[in-house]
Amino acid sequence: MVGQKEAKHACFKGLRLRFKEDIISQLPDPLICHILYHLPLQEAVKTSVLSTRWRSLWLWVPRLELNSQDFTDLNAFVSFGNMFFNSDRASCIHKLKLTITIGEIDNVASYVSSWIDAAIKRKVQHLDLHWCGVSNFFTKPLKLYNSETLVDLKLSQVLLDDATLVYLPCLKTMHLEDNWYPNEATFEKLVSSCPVLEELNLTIHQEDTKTFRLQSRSLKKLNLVRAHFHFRSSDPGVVIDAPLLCCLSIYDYASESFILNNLESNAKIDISLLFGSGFFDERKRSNVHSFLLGITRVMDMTLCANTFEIICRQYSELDLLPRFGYMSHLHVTSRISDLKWLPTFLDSCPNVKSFVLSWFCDYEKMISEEMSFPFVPQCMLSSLEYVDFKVRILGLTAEMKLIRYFIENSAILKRLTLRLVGNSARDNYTLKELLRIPRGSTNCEVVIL
Amino acid sequence: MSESNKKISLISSEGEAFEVSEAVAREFEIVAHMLEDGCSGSSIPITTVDSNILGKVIEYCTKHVEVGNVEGNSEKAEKDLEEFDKRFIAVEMNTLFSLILAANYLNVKGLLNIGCQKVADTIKDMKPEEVRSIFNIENDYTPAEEEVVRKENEWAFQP
Repeated sequence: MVGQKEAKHACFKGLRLRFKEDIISQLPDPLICHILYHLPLQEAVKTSVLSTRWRSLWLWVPRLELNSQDFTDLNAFVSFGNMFFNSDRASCIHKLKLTITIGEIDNVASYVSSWIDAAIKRKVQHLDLHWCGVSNFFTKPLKLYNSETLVDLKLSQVLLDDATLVYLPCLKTMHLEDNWYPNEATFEKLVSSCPVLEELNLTIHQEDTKTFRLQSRSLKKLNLVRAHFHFRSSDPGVVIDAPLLCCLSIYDYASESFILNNLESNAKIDISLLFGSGFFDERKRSNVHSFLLGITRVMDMTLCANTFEIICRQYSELDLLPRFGYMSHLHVTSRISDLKWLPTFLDSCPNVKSFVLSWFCDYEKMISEEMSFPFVPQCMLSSLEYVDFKVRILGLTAEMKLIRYFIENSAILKRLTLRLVGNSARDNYTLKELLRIPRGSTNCEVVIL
Repeated sequence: MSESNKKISLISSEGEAFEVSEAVAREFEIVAHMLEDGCSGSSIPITTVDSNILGKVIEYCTKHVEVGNVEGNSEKAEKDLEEFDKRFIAVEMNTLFSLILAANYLNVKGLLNIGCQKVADTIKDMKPEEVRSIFNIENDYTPAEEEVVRKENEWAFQP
């Protein structure tokens, strides 16, 4: 069989014999640029040497993806960028992606600002700026400019300038990753300068202990990440007021307070929150309280083991949980020792229809755990139809007690899904035990995966 | 007659008529615009495209309309379509350029993209000399001029 490359060559060789003409150079400029658009930058630049016709065609390509690591030194990188953006061919640029991994960035920052300005003048729609010089990235701020065309903005490890107010009337999605905001108002102003923003991915820098206030009348999707950091001087927090928000994912191990105002009743929320690293004191209790009040109207909730522990073991000991009357889907990950709080939490979700449960597989703990469920929550009598245990069941007494609790007491359960360990002796035992459980619902189907 | 059943004739440069459904004809953005502008005639001349190429463009659009109409199973459909595109665009260079020109004129964006991608894939990883040879590009630089151009963007020519 002929290799692909040889075949390619053979085919073109035949073609060349029949057509001596240079068809590609006869294409109109925009079409050649469209071809170059599908090439990596370096390959596109290389075409400049083909013939005089090709010398500057690559400059018209409406996309520029520039990585400083592709250049031998800083000067080569800067002079290339200057040449590209200062060229008198002011054609539109659709997408600009800059990845900068050079240590000495003091003077580069001002160049980059001018390139971005030039790209905005050329009606850029997608802007992606990734600064990898972590150690001294906050030496010189990046200036953002008003843009009527930008729809997608990604900024990573950038120090934002606070002096200018921007207006980004078409921006739909924004990714802000580990940037540095000179003060609390910078972030708030940036978001409020985007009146049609729908999606925001925000990763807060580990050392940033500010309170992040987010106010948006258009935001639908938010993904927030804030990792735990040991040394802090102030009390970090987050305040969100976004009435259209319907999909929210929070992984925040640093914020002490997390306030959600005006959350939509059909919202889907995935929560990993610690409410700070300290003990469960009055302050933390009040922070949990305020957070819970903000999410009472959600429809779909996912809780991580840490958050479940704080809400059920610590908070519900002292306070009554609010009622999550709109919730129809609940997914909880729990530690084995916290499973006993399930009835308490489920009792505050009177309309939950589908419940997914997973726990950390610690069989020793499972063997020693006394599993007891003192009462049956309302949802199990009137709304719970689907239960899914997303762990491998070994058939231990405590596990069987938990399964029995759901099968025996759920009055309208339609399906319970289980996963077995795959050891035939163990699985046979589990199955036998399962068959002996009386079913609270006549329509209940048990699915083994 | 419902809109989806309406037939339209596309006339090639040789005068040959190709009867297609309105949905397929609308894949040609230029035709879609004509229809929206109230051009109600049932035959539309495509004077710059010959029968061979027009037939191919219609084949491409028909497949894409068909797949677009199937509900559900979208992952498999997408894969099928990718396979179809790959086979469809594996043509001789002169046909490929004719397809690109036709797709550009008729404004069939998907076809234009896969056509340009195919040419780009050919250029990729080749030395300039090889690209010139494949496409019969005549190098009209003097050696000195060529050296200047190479110097301008030295970084791009490094292996």
